[in-house]
Amino acid sequence: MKVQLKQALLATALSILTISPLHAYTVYVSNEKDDTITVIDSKTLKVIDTIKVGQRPRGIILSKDEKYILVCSSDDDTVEVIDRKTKKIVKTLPSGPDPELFILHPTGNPLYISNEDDNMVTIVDIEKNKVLGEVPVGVEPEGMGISPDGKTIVNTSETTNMVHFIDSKSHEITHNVLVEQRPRVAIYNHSGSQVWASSEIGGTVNVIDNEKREIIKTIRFEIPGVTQDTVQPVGIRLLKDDSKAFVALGPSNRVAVIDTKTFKVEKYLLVGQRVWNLGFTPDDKYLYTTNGISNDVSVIDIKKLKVIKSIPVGRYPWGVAIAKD
Amino acid sequence: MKKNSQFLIKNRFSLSLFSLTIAAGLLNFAAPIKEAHAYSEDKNWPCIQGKVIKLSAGQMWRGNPVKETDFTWQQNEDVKKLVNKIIPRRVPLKETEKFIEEFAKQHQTNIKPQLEQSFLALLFETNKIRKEIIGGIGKFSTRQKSLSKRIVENRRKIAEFEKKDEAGTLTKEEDQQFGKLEQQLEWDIRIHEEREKSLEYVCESPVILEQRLFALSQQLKKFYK
Repeated sequence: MKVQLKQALLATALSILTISPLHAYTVYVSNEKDDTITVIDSKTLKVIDTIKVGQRPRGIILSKDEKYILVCSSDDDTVEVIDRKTKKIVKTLPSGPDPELFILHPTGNPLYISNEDDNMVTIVDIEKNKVLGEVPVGVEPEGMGISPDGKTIVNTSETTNMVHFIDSKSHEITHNVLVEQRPRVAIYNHSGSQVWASSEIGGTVNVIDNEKREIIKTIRFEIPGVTQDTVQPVGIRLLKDDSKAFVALGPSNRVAVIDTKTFKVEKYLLVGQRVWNLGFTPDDKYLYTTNGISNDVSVIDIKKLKVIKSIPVGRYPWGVAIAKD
Repeated sequence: MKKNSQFLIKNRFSLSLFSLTIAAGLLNFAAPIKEAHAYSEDKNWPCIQGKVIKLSAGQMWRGNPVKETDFTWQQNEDVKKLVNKIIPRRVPLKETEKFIEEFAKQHQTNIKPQLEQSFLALLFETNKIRKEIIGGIGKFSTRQKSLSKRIVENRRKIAEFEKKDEAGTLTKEEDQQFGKLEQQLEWDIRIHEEREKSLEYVCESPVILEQRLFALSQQLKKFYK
């Protein structure tokens, strides 16, 4: 009997180990329709808190020291700064109208914000709470990325179908690369050699060579049993060693796993409904996906390339940021 | 000028200010459309939610691959009964799970094909309902656009009559037309506003059906062993 009990306990312990990530990170998810941020403990995979924020929170990142959460409150035309300890909004940053996505300079300041409504990228000093400048870009700017050396900012404009390369010192556009219809997210790989840009309506991801500023590969997605019009790439994330890229494919409810050497899709993972954005845990072992209409996040085990859990959050989860503690 | 006529002009002035505000609002009506066709290529789609015309098996089903062209379920009375029970939106998901569980118990020996057929039936029926709703939204959008056009056009005509009235050159016939147009404008604005209020709900309908199909598919998968 005792042996049986021990075996049962061991089996339970093993099953917990297989589904529970070992390190406790804190996951923050912005909920566009609830005006909240859901806080998840990555070890227990449970919701531990909900923070009330401004209207229509979308883009969400952490300050470099990870003491603060920065969230675009799109309908309030501000960026809110939340103290992670107290979970209170400590200040709002000037953002320009309808901020959606933003990125911090690798040094932690300034912040580059895309303003969908006035075709600008606003540059904000987050310590002095001051607008440093504005860069006119294409129509409906959206995705923001920055090179690892902080010298170049990339921004996508949805209607102009371009990726703009902006010099972070002069604030001038140096190059424009035409991509497929409705570009959304643009992100540098960790070595800084490539920019990956998703095109939502085009249904593709374009890989741009950073030196030549030319497209070197267009990745297309064909998912068995899924109509092509539902394949709408948005969020992109690359592992720190740049070996694999993960692309959220919107209403197809899939995340594509891409080998970055061959640019071939290795696998399509079925997650929740309308998967928009992605975020890795700091150890690159798990990937969180925000699923826009199933109101949950999916957790993907990177080693096994399997979805291990779906966690209900608020309504219309949009962005995700993950802190080391 | 007669007292009555002064009153009329005052009213007309406030109405024109009101209609001007509404006309500005009508221009704003273009905003969600602009946002909306950024998601889909249909310029007539009035919803912020992306237009997903047809749901496919691969978006929803986690079991073995199934063919949407397989209509075997249409000859399976048990499957049809189950789908009729669980597809109506008024049936809460807690109850649908009980129905699926009962169904699974009845078909334990051959459960996988039965659940695959149930999923295909759900997919087919959901797509049928969504198609009607999406078609309705398209017509709704067309009607709303033509109403917006009429409001803007009538506002322009009223402004012309107001000028003439102020200059004292308004004929009796024009005065009658003026009154009719104002009435028409008032009604049109009211209808337009009412429809606008229902737009959010109308646009949610296809999404709610998509959410429900996904949830039902997950419930089927629980018993897919």
